[in-house]
Amino acid sequence: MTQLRIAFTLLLTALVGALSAQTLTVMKEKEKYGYADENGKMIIKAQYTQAYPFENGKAKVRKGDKWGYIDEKGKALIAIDYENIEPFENGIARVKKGGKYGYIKEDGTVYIKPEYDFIGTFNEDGWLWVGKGKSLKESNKGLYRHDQLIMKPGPQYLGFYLRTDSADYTDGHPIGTNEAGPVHNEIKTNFCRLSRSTEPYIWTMPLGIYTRIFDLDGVQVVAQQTGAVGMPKDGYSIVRKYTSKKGKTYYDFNYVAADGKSKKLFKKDIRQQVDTADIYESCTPFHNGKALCGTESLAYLIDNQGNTLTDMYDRLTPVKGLGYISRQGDRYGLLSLGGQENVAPSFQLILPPFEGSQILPAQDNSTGRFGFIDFSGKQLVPFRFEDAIAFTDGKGYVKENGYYGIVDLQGNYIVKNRWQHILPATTAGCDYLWVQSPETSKWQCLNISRDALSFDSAFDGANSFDDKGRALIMSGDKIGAVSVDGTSILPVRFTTQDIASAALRYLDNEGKSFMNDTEAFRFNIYNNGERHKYRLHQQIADEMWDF
Amino acid sequence: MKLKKYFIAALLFAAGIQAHADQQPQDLQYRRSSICSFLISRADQSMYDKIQEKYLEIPTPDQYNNHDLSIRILNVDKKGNYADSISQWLDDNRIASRLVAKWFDRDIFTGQCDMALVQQRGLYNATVFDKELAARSSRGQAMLADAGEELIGNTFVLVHEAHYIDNAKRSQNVSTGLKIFGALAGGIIGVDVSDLFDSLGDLAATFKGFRVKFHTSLYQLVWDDETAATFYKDMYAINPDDEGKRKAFEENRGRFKLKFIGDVESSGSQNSFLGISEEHPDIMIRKACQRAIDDNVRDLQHNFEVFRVKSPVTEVNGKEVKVPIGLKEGVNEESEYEVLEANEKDGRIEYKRIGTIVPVKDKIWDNRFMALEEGAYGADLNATTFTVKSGSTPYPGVLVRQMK
Repeated sequence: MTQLRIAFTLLLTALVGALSAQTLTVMKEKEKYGYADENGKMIIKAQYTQAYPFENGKAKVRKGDKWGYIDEKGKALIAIDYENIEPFENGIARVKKGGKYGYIKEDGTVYIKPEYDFIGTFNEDGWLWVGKGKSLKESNKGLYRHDQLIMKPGPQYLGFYLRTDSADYTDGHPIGTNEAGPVHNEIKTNFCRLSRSTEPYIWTMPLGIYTRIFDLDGVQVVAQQTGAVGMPKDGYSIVRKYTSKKGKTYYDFNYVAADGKSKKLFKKDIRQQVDTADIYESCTPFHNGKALCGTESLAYLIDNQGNTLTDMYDRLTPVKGLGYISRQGDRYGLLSLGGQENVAPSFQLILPPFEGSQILPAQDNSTGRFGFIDFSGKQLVPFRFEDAIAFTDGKGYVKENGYYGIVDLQGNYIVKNRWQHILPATTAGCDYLWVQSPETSKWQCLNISRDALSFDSAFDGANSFDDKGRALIMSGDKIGAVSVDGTSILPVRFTTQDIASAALRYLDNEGKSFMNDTEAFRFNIYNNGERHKYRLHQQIADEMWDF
Repeated sequence: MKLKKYFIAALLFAAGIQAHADQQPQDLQYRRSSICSFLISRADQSMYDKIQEKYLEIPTPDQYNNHDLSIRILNVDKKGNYADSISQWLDDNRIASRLVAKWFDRDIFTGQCDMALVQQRGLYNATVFDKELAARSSRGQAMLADAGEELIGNTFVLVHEAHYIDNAKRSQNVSTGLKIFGALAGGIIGVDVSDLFDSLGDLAATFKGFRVKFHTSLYQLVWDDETAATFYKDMYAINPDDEGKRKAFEENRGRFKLKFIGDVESSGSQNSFLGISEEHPDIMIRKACQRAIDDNVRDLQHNFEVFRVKSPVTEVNGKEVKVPIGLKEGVNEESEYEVLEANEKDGRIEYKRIGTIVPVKDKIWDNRFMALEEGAYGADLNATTFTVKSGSTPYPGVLVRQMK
């Protein structure tokens, strides 16, 4: 047994030795370091104040206060002349020499000459900022793309515009937010964090006061502007300035040509008074040569020569891909994408369609009844209803004789009107939705094809079913989720919709189909941002503890 | 028995070949002490929210199991002596009972318990364990006791208080700048707040000077024979419908206790931020916080034997042995470690010293957080090399524990 043990140890020790790749090891002699072979014979004389092990035939060493790299013969591969050499990544390393920063390649050749007082790191597309000056804040910033200087150091902040489609704007969200989907632009820090470049523009912000825009070759396309500046679209950048006067706040809009000359489209900025209760930006970037323009009480379309293309309206609400809903006084109409008036303001109300639908709920001016129209104004479903919510996926959600139901394009009932209220299905092809019982005011799940309740349970509130047939439901102040047949997916234990939605995503990621009570209880706690806000002198309720 | 012991050792040795600086082979994660940590966060400190954020990213110290609870941060308004308040809070919020409940994965609604975590952390064969337990055999009792003494009894609570050292003149500017730090600045170029950029220029310089001191208090879960016996008999519910045991536990949470072991404070010395781009000042905060906490854990291990960890020998080469510990654990040229051999006796594990080892100069691993990025000497190693001082040469798989 002892012999077996010894043999086993030797075998494993030999295995370790065989796996070891180094032939020279660091050895200290008289307070300096060199390299010795496996017999302890010094091969590279002990002359370094610090010495790293060899890796791929080279080792980092320090002589005095300078760093470099040597090969296994002791020859300098990278001159021992740098105050610092950071780890190599993608074949290059950031270095400091003579108090200045730059980059070198693995063979020691210069990639970016160490002549900068400040330097960043390369982003995914090979962009890098550099700075010259006494302090980071006041240094002049420049830009490299790989080893090519694109922008000489100047007093500015730098960033990139990410890709955006100004059609996103037609959802009604202001420029620059990420609510409409893609982030329009990005600042991570005040100094030169470079984001991913997917649009051909670089913006710079000299001293944080004004903005300039360049193309990727470093040619300026928009000269310095104060205020918020949007990415050039159709040859123009929208500019917005925010001001406050006598307790009122305003946006001042204009358009600047992105041709290097930066001439403003309008001599005088268009001023909109901002109502924080109803944030509506009256000017949009150009799209297909047209832009929405106006104030808080006036709206019209313009072309990129500044010509007004339409009449003046009180408001124009963009409808993505279709046109605009106009409002004049208390009447509504429709404009095409080109600005032609399809329908003069003559309806009592026109509501935007559900996403993906081209059919709009409208209220007839003379009868006050609701029906459905297309964007040319043509009546599709007769105006006979007390209310119309939406028409989507072949179903019109309407109210008649005091109750809600669903009709087809001919106005015939698919789901008989017997409900206090109805929540339209938002997932295409979904055969289930929520209806509100007139007896209890609770919400129940209805199978549309059968026009019958799918299961008996009722809730205080619900969201539409997703594409996996799951819906969030509310009972009291807690939230859970059920499937179309009433099976519990998430117990009713969650305190917010966000946490419950996160729990559904968790199930998807883990490949699970449901959560039990305890799992839900703990998940709710772990995702509750309030759990780290308790005070030391507080006794914390059991419902915030996982055990 | 010897062959079994040798086989386990060989497995650990083989695992050690592939052991990476930050990855402990599966076997080496067993039989470790467990830690639950809290941070006392001061709202009067600038960047307290950043410190909180980075603190939550810091993992459980190496060689301990994570036994954290859902609440990890407690807030106070200003600097003060909170020692008594902390002890009171731990008591009022029945922390000891929650740590026990976590050991047995106790269902909050039914009170049902199981031994899966004990088995997982204790390197027990689950099937054998359950059978022995069910039979209440002497071996089963011994294994239970073993689990109790070595695992559950080695559950600790660390309470950290952060004292941020900053130039007061900058603090106002820094907090203004941090409002947009790491977030979209309104999503538009040309942020309207005109005075914002004056302060942001100080940001990098301030982070470069960022220093933080941590005061850490150490508590240990009391798990004596009486406590364990009462729990297993009256509160350990095997079935989900055992309302009596569920209720007994809830009504007797106060019976479980923590005892104060001691406290330490880090030096607050300035860290090198070499290797960290100015674009990542949040990493500077993380580094400063983590280094301070690691220093305190190391000092607590040094000062209090009950908190010391056992680490495995992963490689043996003649008279030199390698152990995956380093500067972070406080290894220095004066350290000395005892070598412990594990033996099973009457179903229980006993440790017996078989020798001592000391570190080899210039072969001490610098495994502190971000030592590699800093270019620190020894950061490239993945273990510290020791040499035998006394006793027999260790073999791979035996454990070592710091003596001084």
